[in-house]
Amino acid sequence: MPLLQSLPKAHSLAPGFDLLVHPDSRFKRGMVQFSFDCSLDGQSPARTLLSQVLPQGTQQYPSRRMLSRRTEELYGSGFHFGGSRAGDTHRMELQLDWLADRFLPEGQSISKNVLQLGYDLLSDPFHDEGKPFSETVVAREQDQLLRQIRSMKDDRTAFADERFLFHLCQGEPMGNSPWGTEEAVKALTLSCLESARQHLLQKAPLTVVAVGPVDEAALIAFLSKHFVSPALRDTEPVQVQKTPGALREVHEVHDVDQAKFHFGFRIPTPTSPEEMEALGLANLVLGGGIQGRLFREIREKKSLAYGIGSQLQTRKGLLTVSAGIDGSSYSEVRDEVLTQIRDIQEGGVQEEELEMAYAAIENALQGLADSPGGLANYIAREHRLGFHRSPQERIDRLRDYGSEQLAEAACSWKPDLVYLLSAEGEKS
Amino acid sequence: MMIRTIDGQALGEEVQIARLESGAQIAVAAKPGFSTSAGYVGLRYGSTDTRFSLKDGTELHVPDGSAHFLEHKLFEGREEKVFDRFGKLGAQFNGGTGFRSTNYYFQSASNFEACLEVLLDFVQRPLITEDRVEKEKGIIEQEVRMYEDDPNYRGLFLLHRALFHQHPIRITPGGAVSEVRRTTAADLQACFDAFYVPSNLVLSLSGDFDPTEVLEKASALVGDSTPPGTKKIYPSEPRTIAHARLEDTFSVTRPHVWLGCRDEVGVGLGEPLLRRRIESSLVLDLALDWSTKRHEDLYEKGILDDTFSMYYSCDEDWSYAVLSGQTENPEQFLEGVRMALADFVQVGPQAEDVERVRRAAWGSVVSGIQTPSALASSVLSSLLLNQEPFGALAVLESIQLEDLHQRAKELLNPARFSEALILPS
Repeated sequence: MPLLQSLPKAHSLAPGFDLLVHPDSRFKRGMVQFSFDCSLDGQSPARTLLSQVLPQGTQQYPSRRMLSRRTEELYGSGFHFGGSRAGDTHRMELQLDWLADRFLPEGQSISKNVLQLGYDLLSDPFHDEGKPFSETVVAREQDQLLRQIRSMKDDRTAFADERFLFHLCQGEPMGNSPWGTEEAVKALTLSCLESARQHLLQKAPLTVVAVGPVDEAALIAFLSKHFVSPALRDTEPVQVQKTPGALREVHEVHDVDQAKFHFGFRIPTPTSPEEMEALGLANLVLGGGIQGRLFREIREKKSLAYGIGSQLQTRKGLLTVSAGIDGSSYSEVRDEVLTQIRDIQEGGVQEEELEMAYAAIENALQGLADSPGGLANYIAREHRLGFHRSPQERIDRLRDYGSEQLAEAACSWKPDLVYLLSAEGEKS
Repeated sequence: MMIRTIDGQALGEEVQIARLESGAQIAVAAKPGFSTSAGYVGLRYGSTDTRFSLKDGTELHVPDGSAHFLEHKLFEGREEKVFDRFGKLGAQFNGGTGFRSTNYYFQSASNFEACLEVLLDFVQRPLITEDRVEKEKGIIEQEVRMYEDDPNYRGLFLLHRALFHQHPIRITPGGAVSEVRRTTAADLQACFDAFYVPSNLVLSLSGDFDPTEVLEKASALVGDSTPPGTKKIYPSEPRTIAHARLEDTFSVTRPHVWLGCRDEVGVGLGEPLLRRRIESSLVLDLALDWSTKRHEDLYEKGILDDTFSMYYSCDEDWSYAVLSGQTENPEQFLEGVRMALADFVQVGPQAEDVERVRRAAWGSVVSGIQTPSALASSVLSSLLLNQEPFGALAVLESIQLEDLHQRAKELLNPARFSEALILPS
């Protein structure tokens, strides 16, 4: 299938600034995703606050209300600016999407307007005379961010995730939250925000992915005009790798009905597509979905959890297992996770498990062709890994990896930390 | 078999709908050029259907959460787990239980026919035994407890109990843990026999295939049993709200607040419900969305923040709007929202604003059915509610300014407002 065989058209617009385009007229919406990769560091709280301040208005549309009215006029076009943690990276993303021309009244096109709006959001924020931002807006959003930090405990799942990463990656950038502490947020000034904004515009490594009904030439011209800065952009943040010592166990108490269980393993970062594929398949057999051993053994056979699964953060070198359990089952679940991993390491995987893992990956790769968001994420990920594999290329080589390769991949998983958040007295 | 074609030209889609002699409906929509295909089965049977009578007049009252429990058990399959069957085919799949419907779906890139066979097999041919039911209780209990940890989930059902006197949407779809524990295989078998019948089933399919061939294939897989004569029994619901305010405590850092605006009565299914849903959603957008001065004023005063959200929920015999958020000062929040709504009702919508939100809604409807899975899901939802697929665009275009003002006066009537507060314990 041509769509799956093709690679996105790659354009290096400047050092540290790449554009990847996958034009596709089947989709009803075009989308462009800007990713600025920064380190999770002392600047992160400023970037987080910036992600709340910038959507409050531009000089042309000087309030959130006016911006919203503008996106409604543009047939419900979308713009979202936010940050997330990707290993030791603080990734700031601006995502824009719009309705394809063929669904608009004849002669109308809105993609340029949406791109301009997105650029204005970053480059021309609403500000007081002689200042980079509006002091009133910044103070209001600062208060809001502080409230969000204080109320983080209310979302028990997110709170447990955060506490787990704090303990697992203590001393590493990933152990820091993107929003920082209350003290760090309180200390932010207009100047901190402006410095963070300028860093994004001029210095942060930038990858832009465009998928759907997009005008490639117009997009290149727009990006070259606005995002190619005289300063050289930085290289991507380095991910800190760690070799664990003895298994650590952390139990924290919170007012929860269901205990939250996390298990972190350190893994070597794959350096080749072959290592990457074997690792992905081994994770899938362990807990990458309903065909995974964790789901079968811990949920289906022992009824100890509703949901359980494992996730990879390959560039950082982490494999994590998470589940919602009864706190009294903690030891049983922990031991079962270790048992299942040991079984894969020592005995490999069964033919049926392998076939299901192949089928799941094949289906997911083939399905990418129908998902603009999934395709954009796939393209960006391959670009960051430096592999540049088409989905079809991966499908064609999938069956080269057998039980032996998967067991070998699993042998490199080193247990680091088990974490439990449960109610007082509820732990085995 | 009667077949009709619906042309959604403005959306670039077309769907063929067949009604079989058994009463089952099958919708087929081709998506040329797409890699995946999707199948959705829906039954007009959900968590609120715990009381019903059989053809011989026997009345049954099963535990709360039975529809959800049954959904879990269907995935166990008869001879082989559904997880394994779909897993071997590499398909994505899941199910969900709503208040009035239960859905199951798959999405596959290369095994459409085999997946279709699995889907229609496991929803029509389960094996429900006491052993299997007992084994599932621990899993469902964990799921129920997961939801119980969510203050937003707790608050929504507190609001339901304030808005409604007896309506079964006061109960969570999963039911309480005690109800899960007392559920038996006989309860679930009775529910299956009563509701999982062709006359109550809708199948919606989409992908790059020949619709005629797929329709023929799917028709052969749907059973042909006659309707069992099941009648759902619902308590009589007064037209008034049950409580002006309900409060509960939970471990939260600041109060979570809900304002519910209840419609007096439902409007049944079909086009009236679709119209009511679209009009009500537009009313909320025009009254208090980000693009309004009212929202801006409340946001700038710190009365609303980013946690504020609103939506409209409706079905055959209920409908209400929910406006919610977190705040240190619940009274200020509620007063601010109430005053904004009152202001909107008094002033009414402005023509320019209506055209703008209509345009945004139009864009959302068009692009909301981009993939085979989204298209199949959308068609299923329409058919389960006796609505014409793609009917939203025509309704959207026909709505007049005065319709929206009238809808606002009906919906945003303070006599039918209820408040629910989750306060820090």
